[in-house]
Amino acid sequence: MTNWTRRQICSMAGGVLAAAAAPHVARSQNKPRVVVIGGGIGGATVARYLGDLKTMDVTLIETKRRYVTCFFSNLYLAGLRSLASLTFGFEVLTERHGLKVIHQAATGVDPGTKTVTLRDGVRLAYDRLVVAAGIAFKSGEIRNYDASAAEIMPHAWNAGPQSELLRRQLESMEDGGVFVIVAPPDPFRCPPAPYERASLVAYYFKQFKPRSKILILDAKDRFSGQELFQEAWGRHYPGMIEWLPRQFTGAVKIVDVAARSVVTEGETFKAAVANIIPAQKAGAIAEKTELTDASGWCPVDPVTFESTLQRGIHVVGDSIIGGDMPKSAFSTNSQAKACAFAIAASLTGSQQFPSHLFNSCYTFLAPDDAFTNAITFTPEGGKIKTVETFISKVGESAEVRRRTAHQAVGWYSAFTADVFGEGS
Amino acid sequence: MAADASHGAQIAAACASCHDPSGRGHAIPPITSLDEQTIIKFMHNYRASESSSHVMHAVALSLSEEEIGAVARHLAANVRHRDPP
Ligand SMILES: Cc1cc2nc3c(=O)[nH]c(=O)nc-3n(C[C@H](O)[C@H](O)[C@H](O)COP(=O)(O)OP(=O)(O)OC[C@H]3O[C@@H](n4cnc5c(N)ncnc54)[C@H](O)[C@@H]3O)c2cc1C
Repeated sequence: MTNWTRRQICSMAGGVLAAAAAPHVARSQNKPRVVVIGGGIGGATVARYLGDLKTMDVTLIETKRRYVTCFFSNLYLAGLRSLASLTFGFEVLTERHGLKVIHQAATGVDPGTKTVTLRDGVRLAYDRLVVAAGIAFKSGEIRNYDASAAEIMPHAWNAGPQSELLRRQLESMEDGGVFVIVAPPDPFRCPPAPYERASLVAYYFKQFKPRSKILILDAKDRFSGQELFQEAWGRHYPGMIEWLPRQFTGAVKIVDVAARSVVTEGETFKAAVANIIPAQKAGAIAEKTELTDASGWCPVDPVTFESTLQRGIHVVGDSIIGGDMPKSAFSTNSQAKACAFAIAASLTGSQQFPSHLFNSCYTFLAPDDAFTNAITFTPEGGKIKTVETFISKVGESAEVRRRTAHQAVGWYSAFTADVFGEGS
Repeated sequence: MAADASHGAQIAAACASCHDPSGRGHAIPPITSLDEQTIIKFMHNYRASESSSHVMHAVALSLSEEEIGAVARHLAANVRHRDPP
């Protein structure tokens, strides 16, 4: 990469020599080509920031025409937001941020010839590829839980039809039923989200089905924000939410779809509604492209987000081995910006300044009670390390929590404008 | 935000994760109409105290003086680009 950069800097200084120094670039155009697979939070952010620089030819490949954000989808489950308010198209990115969007699945990547193959057989050449394919589920860890089981016992861990299915089930559930949430082992997308989901569904039950219960069967013995959640559950929803750690149950091993029950090492739990959040790994195309290691996730350089397994391919978002960085939309967006400036540096000779990686999440305990964290990270010895962590405290005033919930709504609109380009 | 890869622009990209670039922000204040010195002063205040915002305290602590100066210049220059003459 160093050689390439130097060559590019020289050629950019000479202006028209750029194409000569980049042998893969077609003669008809002299901009380096970047292809991005996945138009979720990571892919849309990289593509938007690269597109804005106008020095590269950027193509975004995303299967779906509409993207529904996972963040705030727990508010939808509780009847507090419409799904439409969480749904984004790609029109602004194409019209105002200078990139091309192709709505198809990328089915293969050939790192040797630097090409991506699409579902319809078309092949696209790239100088740099970004893979931001989100997550896939590990099969076999919970017996009988597959794609067809998910139509009856939804995961709702990708937002959209799965969220709608879970919402319908919660709405038609009779008062007095048990809503079972099966929480996954680490690492997984958005560590506080299963517990935020329990909180907001409890809020819904409290108003409409007050005799109902929520049972969380966890594959872990502790979870993110535990103290804050458990304090709030006692305050807002006394007696409604029960959390059973792995050490008590041995975790869920089997689902019985017909009986709508889940089976742990020693016990069977019958659910009125079951939400199974399975163990996770990097999105399928990352695995197929051999960007993953034995853990199922993608090792990357923490400065450039280039894969350490395949040169010329960058990976951002939930798919990566993020070190101390949790798998969140905020982390993903932060990584994507660092990645975009690194790609620009290597292809066009601009400078990448030391990157700052951040995560800041808002988590709802009730509609007017939210907590935040703010964490700064730095690349160190090939890994992403935490520098400082700030988090809301148990016992904060209702006013502080209300303000945080209000800020969360402001954050949502600014953040999605940043990713999908509503802004400048 | 101005589309360039300058030092200020690269740091300002992080601001845009929370602050709406069109200045429509509610709850999270817009930062598109501030001058350079005001931004620098705000960042110093955030660095000194966690009480008003976890996020801004964390961000301010992570930036050097040079970086604060670069991002403040970038944001302030961006305002001038936008204003009609
Ligand atoms: C319930 C819940 C609540 C959450 N709340 C928060 C929160 O409050 N704050 C926060 O910061 N984060 C939150 N998150 C996490 C956040 O949603 C994820 O971290 C984020 O979406 C990760 O971005 P990504 O780009 O890696 O993946 P995604 O956003 O999932 O994007 C991946 C995209 O790639 C596409 N794709 C995959 N393979 C292909 C292919 N072969 N060809 C074409 N397209 C492909 C997919 O269709 C998808 O659109 C939450 C998650 C959940 C489940």
